Amino acid sequence: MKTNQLLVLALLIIVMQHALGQETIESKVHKRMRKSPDSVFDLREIPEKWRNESAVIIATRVEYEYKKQLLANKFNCDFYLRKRILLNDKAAVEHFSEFSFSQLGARTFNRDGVFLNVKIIKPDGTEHFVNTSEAVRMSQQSGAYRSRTKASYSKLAITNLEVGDIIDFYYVIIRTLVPAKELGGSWLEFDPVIMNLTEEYPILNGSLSFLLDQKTYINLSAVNGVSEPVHSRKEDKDLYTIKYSDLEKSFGKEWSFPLRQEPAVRFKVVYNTTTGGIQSRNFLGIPGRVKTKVQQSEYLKLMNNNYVSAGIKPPAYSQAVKYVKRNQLENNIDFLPKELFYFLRHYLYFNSFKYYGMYVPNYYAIDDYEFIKVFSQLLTRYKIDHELILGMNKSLGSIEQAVFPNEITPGIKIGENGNTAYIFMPGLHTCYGEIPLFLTNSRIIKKADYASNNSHIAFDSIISKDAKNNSETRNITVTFKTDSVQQVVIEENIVLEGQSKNTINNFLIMDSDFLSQEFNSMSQKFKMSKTDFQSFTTQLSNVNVKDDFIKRKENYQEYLKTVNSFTEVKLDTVFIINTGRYSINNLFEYGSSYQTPDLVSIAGDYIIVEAGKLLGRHIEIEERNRQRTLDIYLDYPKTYTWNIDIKIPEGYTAENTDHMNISLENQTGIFSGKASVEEEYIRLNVEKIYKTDFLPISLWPDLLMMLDEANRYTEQKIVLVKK
Amino acid sequence: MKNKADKILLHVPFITSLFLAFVTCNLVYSQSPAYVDLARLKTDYPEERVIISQAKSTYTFDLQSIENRFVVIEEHEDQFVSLKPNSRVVHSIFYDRHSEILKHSVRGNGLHNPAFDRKCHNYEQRGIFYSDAKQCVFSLAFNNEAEHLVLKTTKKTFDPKYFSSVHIIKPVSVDRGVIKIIIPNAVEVELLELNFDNFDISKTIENTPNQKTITYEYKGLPSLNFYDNLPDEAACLLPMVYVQIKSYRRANVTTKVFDDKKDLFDWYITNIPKVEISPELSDFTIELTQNINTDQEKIEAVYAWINDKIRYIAFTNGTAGYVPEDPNVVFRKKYGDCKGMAILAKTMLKQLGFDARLAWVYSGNICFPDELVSLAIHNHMICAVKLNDKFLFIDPTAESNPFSEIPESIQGRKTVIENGEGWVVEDIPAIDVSDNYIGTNNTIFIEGKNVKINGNILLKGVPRQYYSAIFRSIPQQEQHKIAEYFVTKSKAGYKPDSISTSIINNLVSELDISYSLKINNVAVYAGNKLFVNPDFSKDFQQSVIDTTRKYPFSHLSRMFKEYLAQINIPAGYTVLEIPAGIRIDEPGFMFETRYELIQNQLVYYKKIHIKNNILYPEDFERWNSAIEHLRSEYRKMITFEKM
Repeated sequence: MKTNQLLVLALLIIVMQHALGQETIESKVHKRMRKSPDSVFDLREIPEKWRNESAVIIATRVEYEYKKQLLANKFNCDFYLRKRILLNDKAAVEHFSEFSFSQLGARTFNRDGVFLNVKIIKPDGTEHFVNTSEAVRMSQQSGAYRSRTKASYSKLAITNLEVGDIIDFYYVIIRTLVPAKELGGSWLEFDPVIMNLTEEYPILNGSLSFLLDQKTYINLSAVNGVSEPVHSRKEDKDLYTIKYSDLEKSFGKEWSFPLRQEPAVRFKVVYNTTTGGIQSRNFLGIPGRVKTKVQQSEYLKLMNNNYVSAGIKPPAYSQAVKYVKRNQLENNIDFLPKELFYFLRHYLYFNSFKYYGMYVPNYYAIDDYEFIKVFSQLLTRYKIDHELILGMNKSLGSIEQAVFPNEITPGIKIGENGNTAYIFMPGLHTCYGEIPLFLTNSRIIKKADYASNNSHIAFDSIISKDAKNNSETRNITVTFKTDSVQQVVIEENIVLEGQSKNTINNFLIMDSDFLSQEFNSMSQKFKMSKTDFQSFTTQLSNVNVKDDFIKRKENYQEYLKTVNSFTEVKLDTVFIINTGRYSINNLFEYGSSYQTPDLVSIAGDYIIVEAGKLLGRHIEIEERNRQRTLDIYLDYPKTYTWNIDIKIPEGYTAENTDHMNISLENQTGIFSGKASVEEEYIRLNVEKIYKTDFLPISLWPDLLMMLDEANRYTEQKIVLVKK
Repeated sequence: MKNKADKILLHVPFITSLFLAFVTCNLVYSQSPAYVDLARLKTDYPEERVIISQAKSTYTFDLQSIENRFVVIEEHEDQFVSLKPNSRVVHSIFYDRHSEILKHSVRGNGLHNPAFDRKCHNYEQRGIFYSDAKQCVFSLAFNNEAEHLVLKTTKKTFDPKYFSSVHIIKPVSVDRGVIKIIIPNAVEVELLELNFDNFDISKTIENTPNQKTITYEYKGLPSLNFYDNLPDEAACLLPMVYVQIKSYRRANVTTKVFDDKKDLFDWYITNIPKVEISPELSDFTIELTQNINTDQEKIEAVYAWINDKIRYIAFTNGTAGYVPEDPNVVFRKKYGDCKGMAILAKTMLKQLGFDARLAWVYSGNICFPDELVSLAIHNHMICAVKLNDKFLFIDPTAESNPFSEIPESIQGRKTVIENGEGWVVEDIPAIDVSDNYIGTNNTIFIEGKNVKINGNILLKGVPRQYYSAIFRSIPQQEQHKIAEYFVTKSKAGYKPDSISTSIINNLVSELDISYSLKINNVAVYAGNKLFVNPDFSKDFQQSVIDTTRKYPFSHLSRMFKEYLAQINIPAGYTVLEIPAGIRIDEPGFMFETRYELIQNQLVYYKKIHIKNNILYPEDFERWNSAIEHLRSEYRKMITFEKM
C-alpha cells in the first residue's frame, strides 16, 4: 500500500516536473524575446526617406540555434524571430491584420513548441498585447472515418491595428531532433537556407545569428555587401552574428538575379560525430567555425565519393548494358554516348519501379548524382574518355562561390575542341548535349581523369551556343479574305533551335506527338519488362489525338492573344512538324493558320495594315525601370527572324514602305528591318539579336536603344490604296 | 488420418472459389457499369473529363432519433465516370455545427485511397477570416477513360431551421439524376422550386397513408466549371428546391418552425443581444461628434469612422451566423463582420440619441420569389436610422463608399428592420444606373505620327468604389499604378507625361483622373492623306459571349460609359471622310458612336449603357451582334486630306 502511494507520488512529481518544465520554456522564450535588452527594438522613428513606404521594418532579428542535449542523443534546433514594423498605410495594416500558425505552446512533454507574441505600439507610445488565445482553430481532418488524422492550425485577427501603429512580434519554433547513427557516431543534416536579406519593406536594423554547438558545422556565403559573420562566445558555444542596416526593399528588376546581385546569405548546417561519407558529402570544415570557401581537394573528394564507386551497380546500369549488347553498339564508340543518353532518358521517364504496389517512373528514384554516376560508369565500361564536372546555377553565383553541395549540379563532358558534348540529368524532351539554361555560359570545375582518385581539378567554362544557334524563325504569309478585307488569314511556319526550343515546346508538344515515336524507337531496340510494356501500351491507348489537338489549340490561341496583343483570334490549326527530341541539331518546327481582324483598319478607299504587330509584343521597359544600377543577366543569346509576306489584295496597291527599312547595331544586339514590294507581295525581313546573355550596366543605354527601336517597329503600319 | 497433401487438396476448391470470386470482382470492377453508354456521354459532354452518370439523393425526416431531435437525413449516391484519361475531380460537401457528415464510401475501379481521398476542414475562402461552416472534400481520380467511382455520403441536419434547401447542381455535369424527398404526415413542409425553367427536370408526387414522396428526375444538368462571369449562383442561376419546414408533430405535440415570414422575422428579433454601452465606447462616441451640429453630419461621422477604422474581418459563423457580437468588443478589437459593424453603428448612434436599428437584407443579385420563407433570403446585416420619419441605410462594410452611396448589391432590396419587439419591412432606394459612371473626355492633338492627349476620366458609383477599394489595398508607393492603368490600359506605346487624381477617400462620391498622354505612331500618312482613330479605349471589344453557354452572364454592375474626343484638325488639313457611327439600343444595353464637325474640331462621341447587368442565354445572339457592329466601327479611321 505504502509502495503504491510512493509510486503515485513519484509519478506525480515527474508529471509536475514536466508540467513546470513546459511553463518554464514558455516563460523562458518570453523572457528571452521581450526582456533581454536590444536597443533597436525600442526605436520608434524611421528615416524621412521611407515615409512613403507602405511599412518600414525598424528592427528584425533572426537567430538559429543548434545545440546537442547533454547526456542524450537529441539535438535542439531552435528558430527565434522578432520583428518590429511601422505601418504607414492601409495595405500594410491589412497585410499584418491576420496571422496563421500551427498550434501554440509547448506541444508535448518534451520542450518542443511554437510560440507567438504580438504587441502593438500606438503613435502616442501606449502599448497593448494581442491576446493570442483568441485565435480561432481551423480543423483539418483527412482519411477514412475510422483512421482519420486530425490536425489543426490557428488564425489570429490582430486587434486594434491602425495606420501609424508599430507591430512588434516574435515567433519562435523550438524543435528537438534525433541524430542518425552511423559509423560509430551520429549526424544530422539540415536543409540549406538560401535567402535575400532584403525584404518586401525597407529595413532599418537587422541581424542574423547562428549559435553552434561543438561538432556542428556551418558552411556559409554572404554576398553583395553583407558583412562576414562576427564571432563571439555565448553559453560556452560559438555564436556568429551578421548585422546589417539601412537596407532598401527588394526591387526585383527585370533581367536580374536577386540572390546573386542583392544582399544574400546561403548557409547549411550539419551536426556530425562520424568519420564517414557525411564529411565529404558536405564540404565540412572545422566544427564551430564558419566555412566560407571550399578547397579544390574537397571538390575532388565529392566527385570521388559520388561518382567513382566500385560497389553494386544500380539497375539503370545493368539495363543500359543489356541495351548496348542487344543492339550491338559496343564497337560504335562515336555514337554510343548518344545512344546511352537516349536510352537512359527513356529509362527515367517511361520505365518504372514498384513502390507499395504502385508503379512509379524511375526519375522519382534517381537524382542528378546517381544519373551522372551511372553514365560515367557506363562510359568507363566502354572505355570512352570523359571528364566529370560540377557546375552551379548561375542565378546563385559562380562555382567558385559554392559552399555546399546542394547548390552544385554534376555533369559529364565528352570530347574536345568543337566536338564537345555535356551530359546532365535530362528532362522529358532534353536532347543529348543540351545544357540546362541555368548553367549556360557559366564556370565549372572539371576532373580530368574520371577513374583516378588523385586526378587534378581545374576550372573551366561551359561555352554554350551563340545567338545564331539559339534562334526562332517565323515565316509568315498574310492574305486578305476575299469576302472581307477587314479579316486576314495568317499562315505561319516556325522553326526553333537551341535554347529557343524550350520556350514553347513544353506547351505545344502533346503526348500524341512523341509517345508512339518513343515507343516505336525503343521497343525495337530494347526488351521491355512486361509491366513497362503494359504501362506503355496503356499510355498509348489513352492518347487521344483529338483531345491533344484541342488542348494545343487552346494553348496556342491564348499564346497568340498574349504575344501578339490580338483581341480576337480564330485559330484554324496548329500542328507539330518536328518535335526535335532526338538530336540537339534537330529543330523544333511547327505551323499554324489563324484569322484575325486586329491587323486592319479601314478609311474609305484605304486599308491600313498594322504590319509591325506581326512581330508580336516586344519587351518594353517602363519609364520608372529605365534607371538601373544592376548588371543585366539575360536568359541566353538569341536571334529572332521574321520573314513576312503580305499579299496585296486585288485592286489595291501598296503605298511607300520606306519607313519599314531600318538598321541598328550596337554591342548589345541588332535590330534590322527591310521592306520591299515585289509583285503582289509586300516583303518584310526583320531580325532581332541579343548578342550575349550578360551585359555590364554600362551597356544598359545600348540595350534600351535596341529595345526601343524594336518597339517602334512594332507600331509601324502600311497603307494599301484602291487603284 | 489425412496427410499434408490431402489437407491442401481439401482446401483447393475453397481457394479456387475464393480466387474465382476475386477475379470476378475484379472483372466487374474493371469495366464501367453496363448501363453507361460511354460513346453517347463523350458526345453529349465533349469538354468534360468526368461526369456523374447517375446521381441519387434521398431526403428523409426522422422524428424518433435517439438524440430526441428532429433530424433530416440526406443520402447521396453519385456515380462518377471518366470520359478522358488522367482525370481528377474534387467534390465538396458542406456541413456546420448543426449538421454532420456521418459516413461515406468510395467504390469502383477509379483511383481512390481511403487514407487520402477525403479531407474535412473549416471552409476557407479569400476575404472570410473564419467560418464555422466546414467542408469535406473528396478527391477522385481516374487513370483511364471509362473508369468509375461511386461516392456515397450520409449527412444529418439536427435543427429543422437550418435545413432550407435541396441543391441539384453537382461539381461536374450530371447525365441522369433523381432526388426523392420523403415527408411524413407529421411534418408540414412547403417546397419551392427555383430556376427550373432552363433544365430538363420533371416532378412526381406519390401519396401513401403515412407519407408523401416527391420525386424530381433530371437529365443533362451542365456543370458550372467552364463559365466565368456568373451571376449570384444560388439565387438566380441554379435549379434548387427551397424547403420551408413549417411545423412538425411528435408525441401529439406540434412544434412550429417557420410557418410564415412573421415566424422567420420574429426569430431574427430574438437574436438581437441586449447591449449596454461601455464607458469607453460611450465617451469615444461623444468625443467623436462633439463639434458636429447637425444630425445628418453626426450620423455621417459615425459611419465614416466605422468605415475607416473597423476592419471587415468576416466571422460568418456559417449558417448560424445570426447573432451579432458585443459592440463593445468590436470597438475594442477594431474588427468585425457585417453584424458586428452594424450593431456598433447602432449602439453609437443610439448613444447620440438617434433611433438606430438593425436591419436584415440580401446582398447580391436577388431572384427569390416574394413568397419564399427561408434563412437564405437574407445574408447581410446593416444599420437603419430613422431620421425625420425616413430611414437612412448605413452599410459600414462598404469600405469605399461615402455615406450617400448605398452599395449596388443592396440597392432596391427589401429590408427587415427591427421595430421595438417586432419588425417592419422597408425598401432600400435604388440609384439611377447612370450613377455608375465612367466618363472620358479627351482633347487630341496630332503631332506628326504621334498624338498628344489632354484628358480626364470621371468615375462615379461602382467604378469609383472599385478604384477606391484597390487603391486602399495596395502600398502607397504603388497607388499611382492604378491611375496609370485606367489611363493607359497597359497598352504598349502609351506614355503618360502626367497623371493626377482628385482626393480618394470614403467621403467623396466622385473621382477625377486628369492626365496628359502621348501615344506614338498612331497617325498614319499616305500621300496627302492622314488617318487617325480617335477611340483609344475600345471598350467591350473583347466581350463576345460563347453562344453555347447555358448559364447567364453577369457584368460587374449596371453601368454608363461615355467617351468624348475632341480632335484638333492639324494645320493644313481638312476632314475628308468620317465613319458613319452606330446606334444599337436593346432592352438590356445600348451602344452609340457618332462624329460631329464643329468649326476646327472634330468631335467623337461614344455612349455605352449597360442597363441590366445580367444577360440570359436568349440575349447572347443580340449582344454578340451588337459587339460585332461595335468592333467593326472601332476599325474605322477618320481621313484627313492635305489642303
